[in-house]
Amino acid sequence: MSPYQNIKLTIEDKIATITLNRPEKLNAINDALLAELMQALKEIENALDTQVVIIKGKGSSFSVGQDLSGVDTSEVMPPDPRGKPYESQFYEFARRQFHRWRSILDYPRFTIAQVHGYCLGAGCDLALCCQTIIASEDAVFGDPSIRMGFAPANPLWTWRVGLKKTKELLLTGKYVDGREAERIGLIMKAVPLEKLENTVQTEASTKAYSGTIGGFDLQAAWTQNHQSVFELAGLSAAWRLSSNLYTLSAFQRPERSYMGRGGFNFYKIRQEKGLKVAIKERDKPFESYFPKPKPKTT
Amino acid sequence: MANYKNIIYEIKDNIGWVTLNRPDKLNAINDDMLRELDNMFELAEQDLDVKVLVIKGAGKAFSVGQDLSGVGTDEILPPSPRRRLSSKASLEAARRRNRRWEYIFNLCKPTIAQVHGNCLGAGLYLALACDLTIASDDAVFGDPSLRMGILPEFPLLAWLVGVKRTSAMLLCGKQFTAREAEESGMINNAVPKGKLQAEVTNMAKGISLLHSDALAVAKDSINAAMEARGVGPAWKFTSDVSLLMQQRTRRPGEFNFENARDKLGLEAAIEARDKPFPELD
Repeated sequence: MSPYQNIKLTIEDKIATITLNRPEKLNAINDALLAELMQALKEIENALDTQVVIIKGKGSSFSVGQDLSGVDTSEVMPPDPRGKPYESQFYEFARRQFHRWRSILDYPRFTIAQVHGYCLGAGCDLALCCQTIIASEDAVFGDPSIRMGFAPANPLWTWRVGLKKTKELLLTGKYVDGREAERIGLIMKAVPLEKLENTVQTEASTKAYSGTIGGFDLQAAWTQNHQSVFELAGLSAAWRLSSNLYTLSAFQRPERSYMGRGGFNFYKIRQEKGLKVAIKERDKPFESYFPKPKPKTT
Repeated sequence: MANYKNIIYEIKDNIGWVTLNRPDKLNAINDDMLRELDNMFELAEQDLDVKVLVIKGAGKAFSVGQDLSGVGTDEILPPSPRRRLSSKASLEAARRRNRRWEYIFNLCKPTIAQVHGNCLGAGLYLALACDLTIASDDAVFGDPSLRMGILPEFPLLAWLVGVKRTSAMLLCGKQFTAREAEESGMINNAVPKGKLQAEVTNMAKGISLLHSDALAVAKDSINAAMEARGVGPAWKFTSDVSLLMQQRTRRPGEFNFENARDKLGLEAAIEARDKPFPELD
């Protein structure tokens, strides 16, 4: 029996595919899914012949990001200050998070995110940590963390789309579609939804079977070289800091300075009216300023 | 509210609107304006009623940059060799300048520059130190400082647009159109002139709904990526080097902006400064 419930892992010859498998939750990432994802990556690393990993989502979306239900989310959401955690727990959470994401970016195989539907928050972080993102034109990218009072967790945005666009997206929680994501350099390419699977398969087999002279070994060498260029530009230092700041931002007092929104409190609304209403109320005030594209699949 | 003469500062719906207000001088920045900006940033940063700041220019341009008249410009321009400042005093002036740009860049509040017309020199630095820069399609971005022997003081530019384009601007005097600025990552958006105000207002209103604590932390987190790449040390280094540049021995026949200004007047001196250089596309 497969050890995985929240993902599916298939390895066919040189290509491994991880499918996020909580379609009824739009593949929201909870602790269980995260643990299985990391486990699967370890398993693939041990399969020496596997050279390419495709990560995709089952159902209507790639992933809507962190599971916000508050159940089984202690690894994906910072410690809740209401539970009176010790300070060390915050730093330990930030540290684990930093090492986890950093290790996915530094994964020793060629990783491709195959994105359709929503790709938000931690889902987007996961895609950004892959070496390539190929998406459908109607896919929707964004990190709405700021709308719940959280700082963004992943500094890769600045590396991918530059400082100005990063601020425009993360300081507003704006969403962009696949075409715009391609234009600003967030993803490698956007293709029509019906061509997505095929394009990714072609990309994967090219990497796995044609490759370059020297094949996978040269690819591995280049990837390590590429990583050190990021290190020299300070990526890990920035990442550590943004993990800490993401965690720190959990200390937000919702009642402070929410002028015009009557003290929007995500946790309180979730408790009183349920998760769906809370998410809707979170995004509603912004829709007239930053219209949200809608994926065809949802 | 403080009584400003060179800027206008109004707060409306949790948005702080700052207008550079020397339209007859195309909003050239002199020491008085600089002090008012310093004071305004300090007040605005602590003001819980202000969620986001917008900076724009009155009249025909955002700002043509440092006031080059030599009157009331000791602070905005690097110390003139004529002032014969001690090394220590020059160094202090250099530190104040790089600290000012870093302070604006790292202000604990989101900032938006609304740019139209000329956006040059220190005007460019101000517009780019803001988090978001939105421009109308008639805007022009450039920095002619080197033509006067003044070192450009904005190392962040290289991180925004890359080394090649930075060289084109600073060494060759290339001016960027709004469209080119958008494509190169220098600014967020170039919009039609008639839509600029609406676009900026929309952005500012949207941001003003967010939690100010979260905005401060998020901005810090994003700027951390720049800090990790060394923009802080680069800023300090640049302002140090600008001192050396002021104190260098001039070569025979070298264009001396201050002498030309004394002899010909400001406008003719600027003309003489730009004359040897062909217009670049």
